[in-house]
Amino acid sequence: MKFSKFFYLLVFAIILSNDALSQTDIEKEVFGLGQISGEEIRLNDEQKRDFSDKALRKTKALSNYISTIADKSKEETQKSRAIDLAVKLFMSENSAVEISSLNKQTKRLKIRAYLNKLKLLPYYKVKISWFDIFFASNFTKRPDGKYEAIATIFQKFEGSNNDGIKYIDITKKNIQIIIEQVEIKTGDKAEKVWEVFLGDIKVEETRKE
Amino acid sequence: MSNPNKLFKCYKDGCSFRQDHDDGPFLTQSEYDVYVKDGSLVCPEDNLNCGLQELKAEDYPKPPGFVINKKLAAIVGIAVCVCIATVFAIRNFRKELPKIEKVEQKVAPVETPQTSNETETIEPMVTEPEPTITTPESPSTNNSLSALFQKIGDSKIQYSEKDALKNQLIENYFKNDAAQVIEIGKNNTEVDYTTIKDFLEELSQQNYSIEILEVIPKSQKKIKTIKIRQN
Repeated sequence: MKFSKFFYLLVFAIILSNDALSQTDIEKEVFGLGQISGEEIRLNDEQKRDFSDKALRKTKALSNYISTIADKSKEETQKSRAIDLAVKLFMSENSAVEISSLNKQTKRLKIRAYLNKLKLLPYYKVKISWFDIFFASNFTKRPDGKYEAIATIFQKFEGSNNDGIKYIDITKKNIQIIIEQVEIKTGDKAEKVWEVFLGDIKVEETRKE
Repeated sequence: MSNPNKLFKCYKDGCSFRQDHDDGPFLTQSEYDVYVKDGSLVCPEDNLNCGLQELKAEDYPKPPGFVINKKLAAIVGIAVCVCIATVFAIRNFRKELPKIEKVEQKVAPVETPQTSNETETIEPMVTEPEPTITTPESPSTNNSLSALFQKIGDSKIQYSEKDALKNQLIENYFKNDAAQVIEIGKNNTEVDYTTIKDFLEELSQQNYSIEILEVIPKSQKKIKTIKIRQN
């Protein structure tokens, strides 16, 4: 009997120890422990350069989406999809965009509301173009662990009514660029990765052409 | 007080008990008492001290329970060995799995070689884990993965014509429209993560070309993850 008891105990001990190891492995996979482990990770210069490139391309992408959304000749489907994709360039739906005109005070709108408003502008023809996009500051680390930089763009707005009368203004805008860690799911694994997003857009100056 | 479980045996040759008693080689306490009284036990010396005595400890028959437990212990022992072997095999397999995946990632098909008069045997070679072009089929095919990406990102093709191409690309090459697209920067940083559905929509509206760096899985199965770089 002692022989049997010994083996039962041995098997039980092995199963318990193996379960404990498996549990640790699963935790590592699910919670990304061992990769992040609460340790602060810094971006190196090469990574910052790659994210700067990506940020500029996202800014240009936003510019193209705005052109599409405002273009009266584009199909409604394409415009709606452009709005969805443009919103995804931002940190969240709560990101704000300041809008201005030569005659009115600056207003703040949430990004989706701003893009929907562009689609419905009361002009016969609208052309919005962005130019001279550049980084006004390097990425610096914020207290919350995210990296932030400011990109500056110039926006030219041209709207014509049925009578052919044109309204044109040029606005200098500052766009907040943020790099933050987000959790993405790859199959059944969750992983923390860095991604670059657009933040709030502020108007710095509005002038005639 | 006599013990009813006591057994007796004649330890000397010629003891009559050996011939007469057919029920077994031993005598119980009650049998012993009866045979002593009726005189049926006859020893060569004609006395009861002929050698009929209680069994020696080692001669007592082993209780049947003990035999069963021995068998049970043997079965349990074998089962334990199998369990231990299985547990270790599983653990070792788990440890080896990431290594196997890493080795798989390092093995990439060689790109189509330059035209040459010499015939060469092209075998998969082990490369450093730097971005490698591993498109599932030749880009020259009209509806290959690369060709479809090119068409979807082509500004000369009308946006309205691109929906069919997007659907074709997802259905033919990807596991589903949620397959992952990872964009790699110039310095090999992973700079963007999106679904193939959103990526194709973006590509069809933004009109640019891409380079396919890697597809996962590398086999002919449908793609779950694709790594690309914008040109």
